[in-house]
Amino acid sequence: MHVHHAARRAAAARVTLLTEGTYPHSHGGVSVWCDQLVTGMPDIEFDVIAVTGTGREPLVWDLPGHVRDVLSVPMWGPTPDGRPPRGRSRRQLATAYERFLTSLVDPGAEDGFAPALHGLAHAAAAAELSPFLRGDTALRILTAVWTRPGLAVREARPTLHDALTATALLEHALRPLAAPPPRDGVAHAVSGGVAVLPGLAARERYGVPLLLTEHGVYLRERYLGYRTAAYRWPVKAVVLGFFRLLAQESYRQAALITPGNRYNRLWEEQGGADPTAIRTVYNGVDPAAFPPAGPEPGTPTLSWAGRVDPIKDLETLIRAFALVRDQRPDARLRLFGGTPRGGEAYRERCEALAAELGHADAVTFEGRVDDIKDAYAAGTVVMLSSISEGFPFTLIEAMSCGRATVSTDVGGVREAVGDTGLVVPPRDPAAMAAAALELLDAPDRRRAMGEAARLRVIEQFTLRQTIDTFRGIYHELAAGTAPTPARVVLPAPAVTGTGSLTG
Amino acid sequence: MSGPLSLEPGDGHDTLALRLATPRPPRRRPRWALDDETLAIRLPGQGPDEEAVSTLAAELADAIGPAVHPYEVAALLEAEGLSASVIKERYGHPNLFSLATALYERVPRTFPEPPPAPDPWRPDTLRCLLRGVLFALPALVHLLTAPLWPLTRYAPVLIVAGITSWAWGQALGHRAHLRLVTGRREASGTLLTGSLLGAATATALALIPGPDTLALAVAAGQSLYLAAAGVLLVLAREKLLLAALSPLVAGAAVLPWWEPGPLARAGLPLLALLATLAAAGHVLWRGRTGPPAAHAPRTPVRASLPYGLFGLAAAVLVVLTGRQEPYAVIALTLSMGPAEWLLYRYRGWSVAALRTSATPGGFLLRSAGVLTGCLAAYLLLLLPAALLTGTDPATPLLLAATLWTALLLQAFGTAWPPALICLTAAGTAGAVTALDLPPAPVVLPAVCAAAALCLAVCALRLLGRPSPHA
Repeated sequence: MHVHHAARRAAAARVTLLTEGTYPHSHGGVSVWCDQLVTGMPDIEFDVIAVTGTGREPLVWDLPGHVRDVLSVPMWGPTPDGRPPRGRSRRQLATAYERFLTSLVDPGAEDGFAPALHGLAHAAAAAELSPFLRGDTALRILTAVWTRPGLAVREARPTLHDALTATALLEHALRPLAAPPPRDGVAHAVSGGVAVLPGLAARERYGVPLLLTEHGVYLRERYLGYRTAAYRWPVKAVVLGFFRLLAQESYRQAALITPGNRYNRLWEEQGGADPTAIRTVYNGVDPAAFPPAGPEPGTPTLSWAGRVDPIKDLETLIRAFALVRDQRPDARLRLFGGTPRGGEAYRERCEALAAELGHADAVTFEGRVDDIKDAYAAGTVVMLSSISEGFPFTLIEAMSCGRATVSTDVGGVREAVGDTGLVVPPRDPAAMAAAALELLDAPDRRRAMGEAARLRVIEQFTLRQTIDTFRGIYHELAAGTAPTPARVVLPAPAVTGTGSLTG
Repeated sequence: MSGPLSLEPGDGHDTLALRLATPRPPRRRPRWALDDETLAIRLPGQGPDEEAVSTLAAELADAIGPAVHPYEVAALLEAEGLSASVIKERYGHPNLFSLATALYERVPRTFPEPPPAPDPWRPDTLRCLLRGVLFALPALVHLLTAPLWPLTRYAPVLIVAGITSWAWGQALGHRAHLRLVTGRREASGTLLTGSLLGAATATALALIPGPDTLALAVAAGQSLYLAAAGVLLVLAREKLLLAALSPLVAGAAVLPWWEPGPLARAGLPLLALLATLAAAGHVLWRGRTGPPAAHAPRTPVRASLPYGLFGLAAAVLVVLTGRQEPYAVIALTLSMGPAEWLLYRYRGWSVAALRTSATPGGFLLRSAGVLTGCLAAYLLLLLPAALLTGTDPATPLLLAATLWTALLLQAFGTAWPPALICLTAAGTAGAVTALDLPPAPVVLPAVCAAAALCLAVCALRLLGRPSPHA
């Protein structure tokens, strides 16, 4: 991609960010990333359509003046206003809804999803969809559709209660369709899933180009999330069918997909995305905000930074540390980061594991630190043990601080680290311990890796690069030029001052 | 909360895919994770290793069986840490999705039932019974104070004030429940102004026959009590109300053995009234000190109007019944506790019926059964009471059926039909009785039967459909 500076000055693009459960109503990785984009581009006017929980969430980010409007679209909250349609529009909606449901449960009818979704979008714009889905006609259609012979869902013996549950879940999931879609500029969905719905409506109705950024893979997370949900099979089949076909439609309709790592492409291409319309844009950090961390700690220390959460698999890290300590009795493990609400039990489990392995004295939970740089400086080697990641900020921050890292081979980790750290399989304490010992025993290699890591960040993963890339993409899409599939050519790295990115 | 919203209300913060609520049981390590040097690395281009794939399918059968799509298996394999190189080298599949599809097709679908969900409509039996008792307890005042004043002279005043308080209380209760959704502080504010206004109105109506200090005093006492008790009942402080009424209970309890004297006969009810007022004041004061809600959507007053009209109609019907069968009214009041319990059961049993029905038609049949069962249970409870007190059971039972079915419709947010049906019934019965028209003796059972029938048809039509039970 070539960035047209002249074009940038000529036309101020307008961008509508489409978010779900993140910016500007909550903290966390994706919200930080949104804030970086918005504050980094004062030359672009932003609107935000934010899918929220109840609609009562307060704004937690200071919105700069060039953010014009934030529309909160609650998925739960009070029942939306509106009346069910009558007459012809009722028959049209019933037909569209039957086609929609059939596409969800019949593998041979998936082509019907997109036109049916547009039919639902038109009803939603007239405030008719939600009342329709809360009525009996919608339930009758579902019970008729999923008991058709030959369908897998019929074998699962769906009940009327399942129909009610599935319809209610769909009614809530489809509420973002009722939000007024952007009429011009670029619609930028910062995740897949229901946040994209207004973008799909904008594309269909006004031809607004859709940009889709995926840090994680929304669909994959839905599949994993619903495994533990207490729904019967027919409910899961319908709801997950909706998320799958929504993902496919989003991938097909997006003018450009910008995954946060190359690994996500696998799902996007499988889902029908045109490979030439996928362009990886990595997260970036500010190398000045994360300068070289200075001398290593006196005792050999493994440090870790992040949220104390099962997805970070601290148990494997603690088990690995136990193996390290068998070889290096003076070693320590320091874990930096807060425990989110509801995560206390997991933390206690980790502490119990450390005690059970006989290393309670050497494993410390340091809690939240004011400056996350201290967490990286505290480690001889910085560890990442997650079982799922997009393109982790903690990793590129540690790299920017010039520390060698041992991390698990998930998401975009391998792309971030390159050969400036060691990458091991997830959930494998022995491999992780071996890698940590390898680095602890080789100070020169460690130092070389740390220096290379910082250089790699400066060359490839700076915040400025991320922002300039998206600015270029916005102008490109707004001008209607087809995105070029060629490798992104990035402008020279530049340094600006901002705070920590780990939120 | 950050990231994708859960499609589960009240669960917004829990958005991570792999949140593990309980420690995982020790897991068999999948074969790819074992350090098995005997498994030769496969060369590309050889095609899938069917045996290795089958072994993997067998190992993961429990997890793959319930999957809804091959993608779910792919997500699972990724979460288990299966890397692209292992997929190629050990299983001979070109990519994750190819292996996932092979596994999905190899394992037969299973449809495991989720653990039984707790009944969201499980009634609090003790509380329901207590509420019934609390509705009836104030009647003890008449036992205690009967010798002190000519009750019959003031009965019209008390009845007019009582009917007004009842109607007002129903509307206010509905409004307060709506406001409780916004916040306790907001609900307390509504209850404070609403109950004061209601008590003042009811008292003022007692002045219509002419200024009479004693009439004004008893009307004010009754209205204030009903307002305060209404506050405590709406805010679910039943035990506090019971404690406040304890002087009354104690006084009435000793009557068979001991004459307390006029001072105690007047003083104990007054003490109970003051205690109830103090309790309601305290509860409202505590509620007002809470933090204000960020968003306080106002619902129009007319939304509560049908509830008030229903209260008016119900009060008139009860008063008319009480003229004929005074004991039946006491039994009816006490039965309001079991009636509430049955309202909860109706909802719980309806959900159970949804779980066993496959089609709307099947549900309608079961719903009719649930309605009949609940009504029959309620009336069977009242029948012995009517027979014991030697009253004609027809009128009280038909009135009970009318009131319960109306309350059922109200519980599902259907307010106007029961209000209009009951108003028509009360208006007809009231007019015929007042004008002493020929059908006067049978008008009450007749209108109650008609109303009960209309309401039952309404309930079947409206609640025999699945959508109100969402």
